[in-house]
Amino acid sequence: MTLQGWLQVGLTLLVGFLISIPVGRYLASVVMDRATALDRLFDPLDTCLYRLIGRRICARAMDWKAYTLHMLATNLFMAIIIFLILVFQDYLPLNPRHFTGMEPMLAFNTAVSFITNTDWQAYGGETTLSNFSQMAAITFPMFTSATTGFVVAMAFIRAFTVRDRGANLGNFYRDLIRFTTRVLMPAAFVLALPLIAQGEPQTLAAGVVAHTAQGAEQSIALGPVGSLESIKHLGTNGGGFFNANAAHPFENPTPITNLVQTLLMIVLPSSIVLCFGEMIGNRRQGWVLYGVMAAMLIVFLPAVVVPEQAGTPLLAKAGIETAATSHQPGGNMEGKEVRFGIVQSGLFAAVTTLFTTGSVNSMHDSYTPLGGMGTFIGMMLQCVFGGKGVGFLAALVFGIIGVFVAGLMVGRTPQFLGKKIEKPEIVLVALTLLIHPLVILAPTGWSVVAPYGVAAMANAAMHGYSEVLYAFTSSAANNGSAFAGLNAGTPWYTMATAAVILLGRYPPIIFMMALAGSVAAKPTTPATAGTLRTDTLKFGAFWLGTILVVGALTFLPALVLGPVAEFFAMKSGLLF
Amino acid sequence: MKMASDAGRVRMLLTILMLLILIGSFGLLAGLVYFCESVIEPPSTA
Repeated sequence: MTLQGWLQVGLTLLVGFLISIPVGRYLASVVMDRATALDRLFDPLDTCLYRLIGRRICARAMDWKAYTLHMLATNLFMAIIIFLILVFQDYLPLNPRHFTGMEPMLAFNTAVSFITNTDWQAYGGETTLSNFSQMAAITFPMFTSATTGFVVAMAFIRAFTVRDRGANLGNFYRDLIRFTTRVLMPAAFVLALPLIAQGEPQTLAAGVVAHTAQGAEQSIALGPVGSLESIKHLGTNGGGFFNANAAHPFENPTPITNLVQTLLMIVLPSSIVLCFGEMIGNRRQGWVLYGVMAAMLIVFLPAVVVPEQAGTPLLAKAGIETAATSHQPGGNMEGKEVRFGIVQSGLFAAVTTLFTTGSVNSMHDSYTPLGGMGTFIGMMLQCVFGGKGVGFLAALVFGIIGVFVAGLMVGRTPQFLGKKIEKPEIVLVALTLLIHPLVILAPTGWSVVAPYGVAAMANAAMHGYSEVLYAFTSSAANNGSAFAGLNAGTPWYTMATAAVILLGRYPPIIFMMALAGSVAAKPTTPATAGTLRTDTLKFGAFWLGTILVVGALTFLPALVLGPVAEFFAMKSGLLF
Repeated sequence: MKMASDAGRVRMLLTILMLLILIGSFGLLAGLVYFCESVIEPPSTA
C-alpha cells in the first residue's frame, strides 16, 4: 500500500466519522419527537399521511407485539404491491422499452429482496425493468426498508428508557413517517443533485442509440438513475439500476461520486450508535459501542484493500508489475474500474460489506483469495457498524452475551442498561445469534453437494464454494451484493436465497423486539458498586472480544474451506 | 396459439403460488411473534 492509498482510506473514514456526530444527534431529535428545522415544511405532509393510514392507529401506543405485527403487516402489504408491479409491468405506464412482466419466481425473489433492504438482484435492471418498476418497485422500498430497520432499532432502545413496563415502545407508523420525512426523503433529494450534476442520468427517456466505430448500433439504457443512487447508498440498500451496479459509469461516473457514495454508506449506520447514546441519556455508552465497531472497522477494512494492492505471486510470475508506480496501479486490477483504481475499489468493497449495503463498484469474484475473504467478514459479523438499525441490534446481541458471560465470571448479576438479563432474554439472544449462521451454512452445504447447486457455479473447487457461501451470506446479512460467477437465476437459488433473505431479516427482528418487550416490563435497577458497568473501556474490550470469539468460532471453518484453502492452493500455483 | 395460452396459464398459476408463499411466509412470521410471547415470562406481580 502506498502512502497515498492509506491517506485515501484514512481521510474517507475520518470524514465519515465526523459527519456521524451531528447526524447522530439529529436522529435522536427526530426519534425523541423534539422539534427539528424541517417540522414546518413536513408537518402538513405528516398530517396527510396520518389521515391516509388512520389517525387513531397512528396515535396508538404500541407494545413490542403490536409494533412488530404492524411492521410485518406493512411489509407484507408493500411486498405484495411490489410483486404485482413487477409481474404486470407490461400493463403499467412508463415502459418505453416494452419489457414483458417479470417471471413470477424472480419477482418473488426481487420483492422479498427489496422489502427487506437486501437488494439481491438475480436480474439485470436495464434489460428487465421498466422505468415505473425501477421507481415504484425498486426505489420506493429503498426508503421503506431502510426506515423499517431503523425504527425497529429505535423501538428496541426505548425499551431501556420507558417507565410504563413496555406498554408504549412508540408507534410504528409515526416512526416510519417521521424518519422518512425528516431524514431519508430530504437527504436523498438533496444528495441526488450533486450525483446528477456529476453525470448520473435522471430521465424517463428509453435510452439512446450509439453507432460504434465498427458501424454497429448499440442501445444505451437511460432512466431515473440519480434519484435511485442517493437512497441506494444512504439507506444501505445497494440495488443497482444497471446490472454492473456502481461499476457502471452512469451509476458512478467520477471519483467524486465514488467518494460521496462511500460516505453515504457510512453515515447512517455510524450515526445510529451515537443516537443510541443520546436516547438512553448516556453518551459515554454510545461512544463505547462506537469505539468497539470502529476498532473492528479499522482492522477489517485493510483486510480487503491490502491484499488487492499486494497482488498475487502468480501475477508477478506472469510478468505483471504488481508494485504501484506513478504510471500504473500495480496489485490486482482484475474486475476493477481503471477510473477508481485499487484503493477506491477495495475501500468501496470493504465499506459495502461492513456497512452491509451491497452496492459494488468492482467484481468481488475477481479479488485475491484473501481480499475476497475480507468481504465476507462484515456480512458474517453484521455488526462492524452493519446496516442502519439491524447492525446496531446485532452488536447489542453480542453486548448482552458479554454482560451475561462477564456477570457469571465475576459473580455479579448480569445487567444491561439497568435491566436484569435473565433466562428469557438469553433464550431470545441465543435464537438471534443462531439463526444467522444456520441460514448461511445449511443452504451452502446443501448447494455444494446437490447437482443443481453445483451446476450453477462458474468456477470449480474452493472458488465455486466461495461463490455459493457468499450468495447465502449476502442474503442472510441483507447485504445483496454478489460475488458474481454464480448463476443465481436458477429455480433453486432464486427460491433458496429468497427464503434465506426472509429468515435472515425478520426472525432476528422479532426475537429482538420480544427481548425489548421482556426488558421493558422489568423495573430499572439503579447502578450500585456491585453493578458491572457497560460504559467503560474495559467492558468495550470485553464486548469486542465476545464479537470476535463468537464470530470466529461460528464462521472460521466455513472460510477455511473457501478463501483460505484457495489462498494456499494459489501459493502452490493452483487456480480455479 | 395453444402453447401461448398454456404458458400464460402456467404463469398465472405461478403468480398465485408465489403470492400464497409470500402471504404464508409472513403468516409464519406472525406465528413466531406469538411463540416469542410465550418465551417471555409474565412479570411477577408479587
